[in-house]
Amino acid sequence: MKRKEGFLLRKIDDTAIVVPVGETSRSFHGMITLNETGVFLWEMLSGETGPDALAQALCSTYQIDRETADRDVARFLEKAQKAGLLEE
Amino acid sequence: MPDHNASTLAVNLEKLLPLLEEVFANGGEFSLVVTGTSMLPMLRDGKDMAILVDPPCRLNKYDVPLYRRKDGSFVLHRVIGIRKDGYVLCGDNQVIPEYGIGHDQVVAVLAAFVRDGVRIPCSDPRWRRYAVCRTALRPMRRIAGKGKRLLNRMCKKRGVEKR
Repeated sequence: MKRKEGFLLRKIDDTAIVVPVGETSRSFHGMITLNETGVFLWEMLSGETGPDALAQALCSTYQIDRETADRDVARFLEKAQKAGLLEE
Repeated sequence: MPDHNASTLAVNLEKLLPLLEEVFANGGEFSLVVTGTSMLPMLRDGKDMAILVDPPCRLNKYDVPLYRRKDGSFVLHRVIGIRKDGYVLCGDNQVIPEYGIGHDQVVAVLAAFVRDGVRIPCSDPRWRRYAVCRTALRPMRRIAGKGKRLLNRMCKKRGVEKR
């Protein structure tokens, strides 16, 4: 899976904000805030990536156990899918 | 149509300005949840979302710009007149206009708003009629407001309790 084109990720103070631009902004109303790991996953999703690879990367970067990483990735992907941020 | 503001993030508009400009430069629209009651009944506090676009080189009567006051605050009000010294602006739920707003103070302009998940363009004939009527009736709202305040004062003086 991969995230859709047409979004900008910017930091305002300590908050990472994702906003739609161009045509995407006409169908997607609002903005999304991400925490640190959210930003990490968001950036990884700029290329084709699967949940396994995402969880593996989380484990090695944040030194967390695989179970926690799987849970976090699943939760993130579910939210991103619901918000229409991922390519089908 | 997705609505991603289930939880609202309070960010200072001043800090959002560069992002707003970047979105406009990329040909996009910027969505913000409306706060405040000055644009009622069109824009409901915390419920409706304002869709903002890059302002044109000149605003027209009935446009709703987001502008920055001299004190630094940001306001979304309607153009009710255009004079040599600038725009005359007033909230739909207000009666006292603000004069002499320069075009350089305009940051964005309302293109549409999202109410209950439905996008309503400002060019919608129903809302155009609303804008014309609301602006035309402003002096009457002012008189009605004065009358109401006078009545309240008289009631207070006579010790009549409000029911």
